[in-house]
Amino acid sequence: LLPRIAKGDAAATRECIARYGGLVWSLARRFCGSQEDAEDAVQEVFLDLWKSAARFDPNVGSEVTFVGVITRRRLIDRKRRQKRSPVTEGLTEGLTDALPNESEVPAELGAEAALAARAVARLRPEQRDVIILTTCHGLSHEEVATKMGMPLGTVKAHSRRGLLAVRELLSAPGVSATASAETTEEPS
Amino acid sequence: MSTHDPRATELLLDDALVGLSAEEQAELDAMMSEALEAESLAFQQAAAGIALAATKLESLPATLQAKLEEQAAKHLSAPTSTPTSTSTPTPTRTPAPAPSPAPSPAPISRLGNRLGWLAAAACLLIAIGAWTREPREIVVTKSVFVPHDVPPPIPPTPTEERERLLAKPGTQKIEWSATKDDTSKDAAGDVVWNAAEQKGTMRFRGLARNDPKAFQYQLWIFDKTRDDKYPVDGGVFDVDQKTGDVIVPITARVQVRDAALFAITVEKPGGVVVSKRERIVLTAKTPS
Repeated sequence: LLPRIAKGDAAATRECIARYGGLVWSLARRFCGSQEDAEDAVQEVFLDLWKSAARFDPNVGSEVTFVGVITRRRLIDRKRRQKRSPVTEGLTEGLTDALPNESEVPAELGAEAALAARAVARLRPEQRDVIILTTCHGLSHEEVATKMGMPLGTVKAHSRRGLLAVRELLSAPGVSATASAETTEEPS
Repeated sequence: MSTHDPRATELLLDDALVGLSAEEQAELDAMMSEALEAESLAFQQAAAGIALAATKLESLPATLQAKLEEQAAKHLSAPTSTPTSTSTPTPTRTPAPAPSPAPSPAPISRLGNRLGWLAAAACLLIAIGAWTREPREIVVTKSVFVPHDVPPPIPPTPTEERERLLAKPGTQKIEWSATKDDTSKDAAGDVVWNAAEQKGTMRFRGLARNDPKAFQYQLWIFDKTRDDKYPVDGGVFDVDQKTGDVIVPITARVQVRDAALFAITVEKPGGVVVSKRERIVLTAKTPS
């Protein structure tokens, strides 16, 4: 879709909205403090997608991951622009953040999402909680520390180690969504 | 395992996790190299992978979809040039406001500073600059990803989800107990929770309608494996109808290992990180 959008294909933009609109909306609802903010954020994300469409390269990653990266970056930027409003909770419906098993991650969300689920499942429970709150809800380290009742340093360590573990699994030689490559539970 | 400067790795991780302050961004820029750019992309993709895996897809509101389609039409009709490696598109990163007056360089100026090594980058590498901070040029070390072009599934309605969960083995159904709070004195309903799936719904009848600009309801899940001071935040919600059942999916922010109690509080719009528990309106205790 994105290469077609880059060429100015109007039908492709509508398909893109239909295909990824729900995904971007779901992510935005986690990061944003109000419905209005989430709606504005989604519009920002798609504007960014239209502008960035020509840079998508399927050799680097799947289209859905490209959309995920752009969306998270835009949502993080918005939150930092708003100086991290103390209202950090998302909205209400349809959100559950217990990570599914690798096999339960829908294929349309990409092989990398399934691998990420595999890596996160191997983290210690408190590491898992911290990394989900930061990556999926856009909470700052300080906000996670408050919410979890953990020292700030511990929160930072958990989130960094967690992301390192996921990144290492994603880049491990020969790893694919169906491979059985292993990673260490807690990288140093 | 990363072999880079530990501080650089730390900044790249924080960038992908929560973003950087202007000072941190400047610090990272001063250390940036081809190898770090590649590492940055890998971290961004890993963070996106986690977010995608955890996402329960919802439908885009129809009004928002219409706005997006209108926006797309305007974008396509605008006289723009096709973005290339040498174009100057809108930066995707906006550094956070800095307490000091030192300005953070815009992404495009960072690009200029690195033209020496960028000149050696191949066209393929240039093409993926937008994956992190456009228009950075990034070296691809390896790709393990597989493209997918399957449309996401349509998520179930809250009522459908409730029925589905009730049919699953291991699902608990717990009745609400109302407190003396004005909003819940006539309220009833139940919580449906499946611990294995980490999914659930709340059903309310008679819970007072709320003005989302004045206050919202928020769910808290007390987990036997966690400190009672820090219940799991189940998300905020509104009641917008006077009669009939209101069904709200449960929004557990983190894993609930052993639910002991579900409690609804009244909070300021948007909810709170930690509740003062001044107005508890409904509780549902799991059988011990």
